[in-house]
Amino acid sequence: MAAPSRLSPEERATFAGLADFLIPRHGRLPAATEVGAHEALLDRVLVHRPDIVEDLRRGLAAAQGAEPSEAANRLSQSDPAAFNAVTLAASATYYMCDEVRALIGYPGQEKAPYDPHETPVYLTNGMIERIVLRGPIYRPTPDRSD
Amino acid sequence: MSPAASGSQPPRHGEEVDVCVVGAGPSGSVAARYLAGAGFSVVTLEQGDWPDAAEFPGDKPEFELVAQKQWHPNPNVRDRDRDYPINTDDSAINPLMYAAVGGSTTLYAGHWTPFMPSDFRVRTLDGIADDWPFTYEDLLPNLEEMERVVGVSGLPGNPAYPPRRAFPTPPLPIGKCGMKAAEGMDKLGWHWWPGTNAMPSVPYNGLNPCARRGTCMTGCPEGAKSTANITLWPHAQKDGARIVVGARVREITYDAARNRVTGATYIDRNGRERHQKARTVILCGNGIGTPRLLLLSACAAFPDGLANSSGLVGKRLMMHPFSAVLGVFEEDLASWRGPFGHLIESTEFYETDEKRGFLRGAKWGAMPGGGPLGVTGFVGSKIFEEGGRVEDSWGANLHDLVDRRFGHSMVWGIIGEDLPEESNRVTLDPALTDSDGIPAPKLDYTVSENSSNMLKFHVDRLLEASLAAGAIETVVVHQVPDTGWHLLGTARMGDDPRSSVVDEWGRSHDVPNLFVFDASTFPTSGGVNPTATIMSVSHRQTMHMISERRNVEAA
Repeated sequence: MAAPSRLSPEERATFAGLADFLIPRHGRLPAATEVGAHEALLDRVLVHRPDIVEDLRRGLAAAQGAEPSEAANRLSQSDPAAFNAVTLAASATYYMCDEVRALIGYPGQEKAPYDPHETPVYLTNGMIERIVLRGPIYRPTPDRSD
Repeated sequence: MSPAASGSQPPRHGEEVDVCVVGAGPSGSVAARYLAGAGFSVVTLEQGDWPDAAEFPGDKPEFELVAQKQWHPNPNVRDRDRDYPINTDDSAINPLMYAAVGGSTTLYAGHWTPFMPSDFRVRTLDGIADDWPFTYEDLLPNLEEMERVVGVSGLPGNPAYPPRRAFPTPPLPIGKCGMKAAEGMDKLGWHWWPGTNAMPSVPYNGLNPCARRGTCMTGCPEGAKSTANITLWPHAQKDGARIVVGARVREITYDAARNRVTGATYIDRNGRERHQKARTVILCGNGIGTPRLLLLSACAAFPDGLANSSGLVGKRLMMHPFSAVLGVFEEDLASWRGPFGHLIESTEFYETDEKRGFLRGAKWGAMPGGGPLGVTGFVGSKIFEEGGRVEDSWGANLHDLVDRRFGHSMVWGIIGEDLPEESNRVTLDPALTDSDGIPAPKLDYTVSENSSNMLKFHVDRLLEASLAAGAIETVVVHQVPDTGWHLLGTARMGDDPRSSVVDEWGRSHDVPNLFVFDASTFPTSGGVNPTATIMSVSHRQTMHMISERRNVEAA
């Protein structure tokens, strides 16, 4: 399996074109390459997922020199594994970027402190009471058939 | 039985112990902990390692990326040396598991949903499948003891169960996401209850309180999800229980002259073959690992697999086919936030109503929608449809999709009862092996018409529930392959040796000092997540073994 650092400038350029086709500038959101999705962030993704490098490189080789839309659509039909590697690398790179996370309001999987002894609202607004008042819904244990 | 030896010492070469437990998941860990506490000498053989919370990815930026590979619940996807491969070419569902101290609970979502009274009397109530050899009431004391150990969080008084003791810690917050799900159920007048989870809300038995990080299914970096390495093993080792990790058992050894098992042969971490002598062997390898081992241990006296005179070892595999309904809401629900156990649960349609076109029922659990990469995971499929274009799901459409769904999604998951069928089975693959050259299991499994009809009915009801809650968009994910969390039924318990492998105490009908304490013994699957019942049944069988210690027929 090829080391991530061996992605050539040509491969990186092909990826950049595909990444911007898959994730273009849109409203307040930047395009993939505007946050460096084809540079250090891509290397970071591939360090964590060396298993996709081979499929990715095959996809990039097939797409080299072609118009990104045409290349992506062709790849999705001819080599789904390579297509999935390209799209995963693009989307993972993009959504691991701090700038993008801030723009979409994602702080990451952070801790969320709470008071475990606080009375939940469902206990005071009648929601749980309505369930309890409807009574048991289980079937009790019968005698055995044999 | 001899007094326990020191827990800090590895077993001596040739040492014979009272009990050898195979597998340190929930059932094996319960057995080791209580047997050691009662003075038995116990050695547990575990093919995985001690989990290291520092390695869990939940608190790292690449969490969602590695969750799809290195921390995927499917061992065939993870492809680690410690995992054994499974041939699933002829299985509609992929089995999910994890080899470690704590077993597959390392990656479980921690839904704590005990089987209900009707689950133990399926034949009597519905005329299908089988009754269990004991009742809900018989098991309740064991369940309450396990909840005390596990540190379950939950609200008492759920009318889906008979009156019972309260949970040891208060319920976790259900958050905006859980409240949205509850609003729909409330409007329809359907049962729901705040989720009961195997994660405490306050510090408890070595566990930290749940921090709502929402990464339960790749290991809890907070040390808050209840797993046996935290809640059981410190006590077990203090009482002298010993464990050998990296120990892959390849055979249970058997003395035909005395009709007794004599221990377990395993390959250690360095590839050396070793043998652990024991007066009693308890198998806790899960519904695939346990029958695999019994089949691997075939001998002249048992040519079709050890303790398999019934022919049922490996048969009746149940895996709970699974479907889910995603609801997207206008409001910001912060739906990446945990717990990734269930926020709320419902058993409104749990019991049989034949008018629905199937027997038995299912439990629903509402869970958060997850992070942005998880949200984009719902794209993809359109592209591979006839005439699909990449632009349909990517480009500006991807941004719109993430904008609409990320933080705004809630997922209702359906765990439906899977009825036992002998054609759904585990055998040994003739060619595939694990990294030690031991034959791997092969599955033959099809989703029954009853299960398919059940899932369709429940999907339709959940679409109603999602719309009642105000969903502006819904997505159905029907019969997902990578959902075989629950591996049940392949060495069933029963009173009749002709139609069961073990008795109600987990003892083999054929070999009196061989036991199975894991979910292989379950006669039926229930329609809920099984860990609560797995631990409770193991506890019941363990306590019986302790009380009968003077009558044990040892090697």
